[in-house]
This record gives sequence, C-alpha cells and structure tokens, in this order.
Amino acid sequence: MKAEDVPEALVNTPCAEYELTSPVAGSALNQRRISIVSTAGLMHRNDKPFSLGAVDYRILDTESDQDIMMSHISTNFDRSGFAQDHNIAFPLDRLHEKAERGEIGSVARYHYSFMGATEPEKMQPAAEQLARNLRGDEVDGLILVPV
Amino acid sequence: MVIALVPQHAERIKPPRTLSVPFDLGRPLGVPDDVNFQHRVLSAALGLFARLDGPVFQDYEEQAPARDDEVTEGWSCPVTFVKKDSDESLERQVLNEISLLRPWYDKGKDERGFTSFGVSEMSLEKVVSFLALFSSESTLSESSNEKILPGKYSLADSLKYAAEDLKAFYNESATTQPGQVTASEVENWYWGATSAGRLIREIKKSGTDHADPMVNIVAAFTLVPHTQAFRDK
Repeated sequence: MKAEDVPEALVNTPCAEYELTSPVAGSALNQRRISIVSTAGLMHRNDKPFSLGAVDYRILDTESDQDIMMSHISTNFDRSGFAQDHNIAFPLDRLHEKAERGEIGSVARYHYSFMGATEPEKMQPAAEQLARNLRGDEVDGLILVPV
Repeated sequence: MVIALVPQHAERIKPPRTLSVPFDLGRPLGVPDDVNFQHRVLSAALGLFARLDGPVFQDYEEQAPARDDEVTEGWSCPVTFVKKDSDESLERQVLNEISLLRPWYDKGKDERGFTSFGVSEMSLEKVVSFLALFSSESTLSESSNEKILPGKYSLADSLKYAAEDLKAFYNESATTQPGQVTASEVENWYWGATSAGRLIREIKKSGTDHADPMVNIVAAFTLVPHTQAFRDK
C-alpha cells in the first residue's frame, strides 16, 4: 500500500527491531536456490488450519497434490485475488518460470507459511528451526511475502 | 529479501533488502492472473539480492492497472439475489444464493484446478446451517459444535473457518464471472449485496455476547473487515 493509505491502527502495530540489518553477499541470482516464506496463513488441504495466536508454520511442498488454502485469522485483507490466482500471494509458478528461463538457479521443493498476527518474539523458535531447514535444503535466496 | 505492503513496518524493522509495493493488502504481487505484471514485481524483488549497501529500501513504482472503464463499465454480479425484505429465513436466502452461484463456482474450480474452500472441513450446506444456527442461537455451546463436527475444532475456530469458507465460495464464484472485478468491488458486493455477508454481520453482533471468550474475540475482530463496519453503525 502507499504509506498515506495505510490505516493508522496498522501503522502503529508494534514491530520487532534487530541489530543485524546489513545484507549478506551471495551467489549470482541465476545460481541461487529460491524459497518463499509467506505470512498469509497458507496450508495444504489436509493440514491443521492456523488459529488465533498461532506461532508455528506450515510446509508447502511443491510435490504435494493437495490444494493450497488460506486460513489466516484476519479478515482485513482481500482474499478474492488469492481465490482467483494463488500467485498473487504465493508466486510459485512465477518462480518456476524464472528458473526455466535461467533467471534464477532453482526453486526449492519446500516453501513455508506462518500466519503472523501475533508477537514476533513468540515465532522466533519456529523461525530459527525454519532457518536450519532452509540451510539443509541449500536455499540461498529467501523471499518473504506478506499478505 | 522482503516484499512489503506496509512501508512503515519495513522502515522500522529494517530488513536487509525490502521492496515496498503499492498494492492492496492481500495482493503483494499486484494483479491476479497478470503473469507479466507479477514477473516484473518479482524481478524487482529478486534484483535486490545483488545489493550489498543495506539495509536497502526500494519503492516499486508501477501501480496495479486500473480497470479500463471505457471497455468494462464497472463490475456487477450477473446473478440476481432476493431483496433484503424477503419473507424467507436468512439461511434460506443464503442457500438460494449458493444455488445461483454454484455454476460459477464449479466452472472456476474446473478452470483453475483448485479451490480454497474447505478449511472448516464442512460441506457448504453444513457451513451455512452451522452459521445460521450460530446467528439465531447465541448460546450455541461446545456440545452443539461436537454434533456438527465431532472431535475437530473449537467453537471459535469452527466459526472462523466456516465464515471464511463461505466467503471463499462467494469470492471464487464472483471472480469466475465475466468482466474485470476489483478487490473493493468484490468486498462491497459480498458484505453489502449478499445474504451471506448479512449473515456474518449478524453473527458478529450476536457473537460478541457469547459466553465463550474466544468466540467473543473471533466475532468481534475477525469476521467482518474494518472497512465494512459502517454498514452496521
């Protein structure tokens, strides 16, 4: 959104602050393995939906045949775009196309979704575990996509 | 790197690399079904991996294209619904709407190959009956919930999942219909012109008096968007 259009209540949401903010050097983009971390409350059809206060994440497996669904607790964002095209909030098809064109190195098999909508500190243990998973999957390019 | 929909948050958090986009909440890649547009946004985001002079905060300037109203004069649902002063129950009105929208929902599901409906694990008809029961009986208890969905989710969670499933059905039906439709058009249609939207708004009113504090919270804060609160003031 444009800064002037963001509702005041949303602007004033407490945010975490970190000491380390400098980017890290890495491979050229066409060598990178890319994964998505979403905060849209995404899940596969047979997963447990997110509920109020959830601090865990769901694994979005590109090899699963289960539909991807949204179970975010908030109603204050548009869901019709996602209903029409999942790439609006989970651009997996776009990443695959970029990999086919050689713009990126590869697409990770596993992507992830939190729901957010809770104190960031409470998600830290899960986030640290997820970071280990990403290293194990040799992901060196992470896109955090909001909703 | 981070794609940011709320620039103020990114400015405070200072991720190493941020692309701030001007799109509606819920649409971080801008425009559904616009492959080229999404690729441009994603390319701008991925391009920030080359930046080492961080924290980087870059504005994405391209706006989501406005609908060409010379070609499409706004969007209106081609399905005509019963007027609000109908003698039929709200539940019956919702079921009637569903029967009219069902061909569009089924068509969309076939064309897209997926549906977002089903988080509640109830059938659509059960979703409607559960929500209608909730709206007319604000003392609906956990034991009643067990009869509908034994061994599954709490009453508060069931309420939220069922409400979103109902909206998902309507969203998918609406976005399958011919014509361009904007996020605000779908939202205003659902909450202002459908019996389903009216049902959820009724549940919000009754749910805030429920004995279960979690139901209070779900009803008060998670069922109806802030942007639609004016309808019941």
